[in-house]
Amino acid sequence: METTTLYRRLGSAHQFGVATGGWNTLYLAPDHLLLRTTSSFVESYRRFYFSDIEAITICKTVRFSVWNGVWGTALFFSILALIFKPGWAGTICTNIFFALLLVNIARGPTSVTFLQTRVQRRALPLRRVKRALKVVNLLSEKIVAAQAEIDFSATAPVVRQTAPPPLETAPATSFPPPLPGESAGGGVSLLHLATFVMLVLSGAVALWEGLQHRPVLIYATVTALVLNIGLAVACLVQQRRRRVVARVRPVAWVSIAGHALGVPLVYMGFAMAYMMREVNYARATGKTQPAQIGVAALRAMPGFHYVLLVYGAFCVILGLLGCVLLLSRARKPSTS
Amino acid sequence: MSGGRLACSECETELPLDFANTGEFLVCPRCNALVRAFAFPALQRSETAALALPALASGEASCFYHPQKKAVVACDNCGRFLCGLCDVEISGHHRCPGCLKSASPQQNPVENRRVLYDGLALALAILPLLGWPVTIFTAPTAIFIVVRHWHSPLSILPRTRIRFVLAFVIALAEICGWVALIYFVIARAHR
Repeated sequence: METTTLYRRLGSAHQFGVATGGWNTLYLAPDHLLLRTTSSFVESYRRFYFSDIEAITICKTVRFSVWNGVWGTALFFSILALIFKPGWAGTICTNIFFALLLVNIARGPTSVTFLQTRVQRRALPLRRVKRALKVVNLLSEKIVAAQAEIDFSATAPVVRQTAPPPLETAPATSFPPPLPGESAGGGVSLLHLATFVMLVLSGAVALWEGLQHRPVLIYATVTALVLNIGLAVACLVQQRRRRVVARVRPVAWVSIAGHALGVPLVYMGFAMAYMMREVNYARATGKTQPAQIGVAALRAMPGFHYVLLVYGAFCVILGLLGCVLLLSRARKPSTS
Repeated sequence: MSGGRLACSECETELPLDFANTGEFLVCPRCNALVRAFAFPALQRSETAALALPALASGEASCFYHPQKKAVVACDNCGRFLCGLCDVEISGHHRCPGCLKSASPQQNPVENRRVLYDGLALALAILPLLGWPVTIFTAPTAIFIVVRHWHSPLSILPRTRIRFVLAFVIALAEICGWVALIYFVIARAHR
């Protein structure tokens, strides 16, 4: 059986180029950094052993200001458009540009980070100052510790007197090792908690709408559905980057998979039924109706309230399950 | 070779060593970029340190590759005596250049390239669906890759074989679809 060195992901970025292009990801191993470049179906690796690293330089770039300018300008014009001609498209565009601007500001100034050894100088996939400083702080201790046992002033060749600690083998899961001072089981993720609470709330709204037809509730259900998808995607991103309670991770996956499969299938099914009904109506009367199914028409379709009840139950059960798993697991360390 | 000097990330100008470990971003004297440098003890390493090896004294074991040099360690794989220059230490294991060169992909600790056959098989199974007639060629190819490379090493990072399974299932479904289509056409022609 192949033993694998335990790697922890530190960052990733795309590098453009004909020969050198690809998706670069940086991993931390017990005694080295691994830079993986994925290009189509080939992965290439570069290892930087801690004892060889001479320097790391971080240089601020103007990309941060450029993106702020781009999203700020787009937001400005979309707000102008919204003022003069209000509509759904303008609202959606404004929200998207505003969100992109906020994300860029939240991620902080951009940078290029270079790692230097005796024989090479290589750009690391750390494109934000905040992230780069965090990684360098994490690495500094390890690099200094690895180089402490080497006498660089001596002219004799360097041979380690003490054997380095044995490598751990990879566990059954591919989860990264915990940060120093971080609990091995993972912490409570507020994003996951918010997602599960939102699932319960949206499930309750969908159940309510399924039982009593209210025009406001169907729009609330649609909004909650979009929020659920967004939050589930954010959860997946976070649980890839940070340690989250392991038992909660599948709940986020089930949520995104359920939404990703269920929503298009249900919508397509009802849209086809609606279209066929409208075609028959047009043949019989000679009048044409809009072929696209709207939210109100969707609500009026026979059997749709059953779908809402199923969706509501799915969300409530999944949200409650997630909350219970997240909070029960989080309390354990304090009680023991 | 960049050893012994600190360079700006933007313009590659050599920076003075007091630029390093200041805890703040400083302005590069040439390009005015804001640079923060972290230097480690290895930066002070002498250029000739690695080449100055102790000479062999009488009664001492010599390096397999450099008979005039004193052996300091034995290769963990073949047992040859090695001097400081020939010893390649990787993850706590000492290897000689010969063993590193001849190591198989599974045993080579410094393997620097792998082909992701699982991703290739999955792409061959899914992407041709956009131009579905092509699947008559790509589906059997995807199944061949799955069978041929099921035991090939995947990425050196933990990775499951779920892509292989998906590729096999999708390609099999495509072949079944083709068989059904051909049967339908033949049955209709005989009617």
